[in-house]
Amino acid sequence: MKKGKKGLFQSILLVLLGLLVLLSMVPFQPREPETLEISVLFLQRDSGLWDNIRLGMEQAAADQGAELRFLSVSYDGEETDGAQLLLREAADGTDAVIIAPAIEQELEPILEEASANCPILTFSQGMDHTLLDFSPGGEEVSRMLINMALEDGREGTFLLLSESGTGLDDQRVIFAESYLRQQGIEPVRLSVRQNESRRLARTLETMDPDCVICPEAGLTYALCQHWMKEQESAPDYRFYGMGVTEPAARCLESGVIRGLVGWSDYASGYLICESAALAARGKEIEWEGELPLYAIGKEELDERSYQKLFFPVLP
Amino acid sequence: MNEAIRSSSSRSCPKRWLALLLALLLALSAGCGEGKAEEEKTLRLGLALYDQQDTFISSLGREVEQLAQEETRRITVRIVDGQGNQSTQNDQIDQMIQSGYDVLFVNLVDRTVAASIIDRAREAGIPVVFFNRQPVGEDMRRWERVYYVGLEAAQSGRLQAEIVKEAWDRGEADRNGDGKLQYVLLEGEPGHQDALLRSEHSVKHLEELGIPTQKLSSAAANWSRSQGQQQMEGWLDRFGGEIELILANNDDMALGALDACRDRGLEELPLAVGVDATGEALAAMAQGTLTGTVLNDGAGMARSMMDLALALDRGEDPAQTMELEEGHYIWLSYRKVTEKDVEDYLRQQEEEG
Repeated sequence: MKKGKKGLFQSILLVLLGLLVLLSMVPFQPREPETLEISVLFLQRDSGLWDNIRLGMEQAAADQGAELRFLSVSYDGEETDGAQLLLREAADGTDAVIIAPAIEQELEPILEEASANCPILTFSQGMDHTLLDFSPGGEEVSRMLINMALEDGREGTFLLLSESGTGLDDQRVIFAESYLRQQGIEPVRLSVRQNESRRLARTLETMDPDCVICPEAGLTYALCQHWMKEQESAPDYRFYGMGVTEPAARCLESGVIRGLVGWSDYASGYLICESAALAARGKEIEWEGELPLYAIGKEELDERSYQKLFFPVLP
Repeated sequence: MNEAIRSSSSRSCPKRWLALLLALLLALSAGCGEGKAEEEKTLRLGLALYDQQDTFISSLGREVEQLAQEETRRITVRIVDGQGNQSTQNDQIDQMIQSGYDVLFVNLVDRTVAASIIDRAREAGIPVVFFNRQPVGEDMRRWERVYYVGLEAAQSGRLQAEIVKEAWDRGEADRNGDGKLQYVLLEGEPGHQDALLRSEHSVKHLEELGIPTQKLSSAAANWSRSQGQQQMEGWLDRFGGEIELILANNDDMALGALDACRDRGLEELPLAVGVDATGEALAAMAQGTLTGTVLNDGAGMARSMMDLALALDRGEDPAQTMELEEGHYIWLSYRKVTEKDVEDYLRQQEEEG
């Protein structure tokens, strides 16, 4: 009898322990399966420039079961802390990293090391150790900008504006220089460092060009913000820039600037985030080709298809 | 027979105990594995803003993101924009609850609907930190894991009055020399607690400081620069140069009113005082158009919100480990910004990029 009771006790204990093991396997607070973490490195100064890109990324993250970790990279006048952030994120186990155009060139030396841990994606063409790019070629951007400017007039000094430190802009500016020369125009070049963009408007006034061509979204955004903030009237020179941001739209509408070239930031954000999620899951990246580019003057702003570039319709 | 039974029992008894020991070890190791996964888990914060078009609120969201980045603890911050629609915000919050976020930061569109949000979060065991738009006290007491981070709106109104007093004492305010200050008032939104308190206490404190006032008109401009401009255009048609002071519940509306004055080509702008100390406001002060503003300590709010989230993540009871009023509230202070110190604030902003 005693042994029978003991055996029963042991059996009950065995069953209870077995149930305990099963219960411990059930998570207390269920999470969505396979929720990815995607880190996004962008320049702190460009946070306003990224509004529509973020919207696109967030939609893609929601569609792909991913969460985004936006990390702003600060600039001390000489360099950014992007390298440190990228390596930290890669080592910390993020599932993929997206890098903003403004810091791509600076991070290129460490991409091989970082990409050993996770997929790295950039917006621009020609980066080693990154998975894709779909931004329209730099040449096409410059060609469209210059054609817009030439339609308005060929006289006077043409100034090419770029931001030093970003290889993409150099490609565009080098092509723009060559293209202008083909049109019989000898341009002046001005390359500014990132922390000088606030004084840029004054510098341009001093240089007194007739036409300014800026194939760089960050500089265009900074200038348009400045003009909006200062409520300034149109500068004496014609300005053609890049990017589909709200300050740029307002400047175009008010005649402060003459033209813009851009693509859908929302679409670019969506595509790159979707691709990051697919890459993180070891799947094929589906997008091929380039996003369409648009040349936008004041007349186009009334058209809904162009308005959606600046103010994407939210689902 | 008894020998046989005894013999088989004695062989199976150690086996059973061995099986028990193995099962116990298995259960313990499964428990340990679960604990290890918890340590590495990312802290997931959901941040629901009432409207990202609000300059101050948008910058506050970025502050929280920046703080998350600086922590050694791995943190993701999901920011959603209610676009001024409570129904939209409710859907967004529900989605975050279903996704199992660890802490919800909520900047309500409609401060009267906090109860339903609290109940849903409570059911899911997710603490809620309201900020900037204060729920009613009764709702805050529904659950011990509900918190509020904000500043006392009445103080901001009083500080606005002090800025005007300084201008009055310099002889810059009473332009028609009648011994009274003719003003127009731009209010945030109808029924918004901060709007009501700022409006009430700015004017009341002006009187307390010995400045007789005459209200020409007031209107709600929903914190919006463009609406502030529209409103001011109408007032300029009605009152023209009579307006000596623009009192606005926030900087965006004050700047909008000044936009209207500039478009009208006024030779002399009225005094204008806002709240928030946004970048645009500081720039306007540096140019001499905006008289003054009151710093809405967004950085301090973001820090307090993050501290709360981290305390909750560590399993602490913030009511015990942090300085909370009534177990739920963290109150921060506003600060005056005048021409004397605007350059310092501008420099600070520039350094922060």
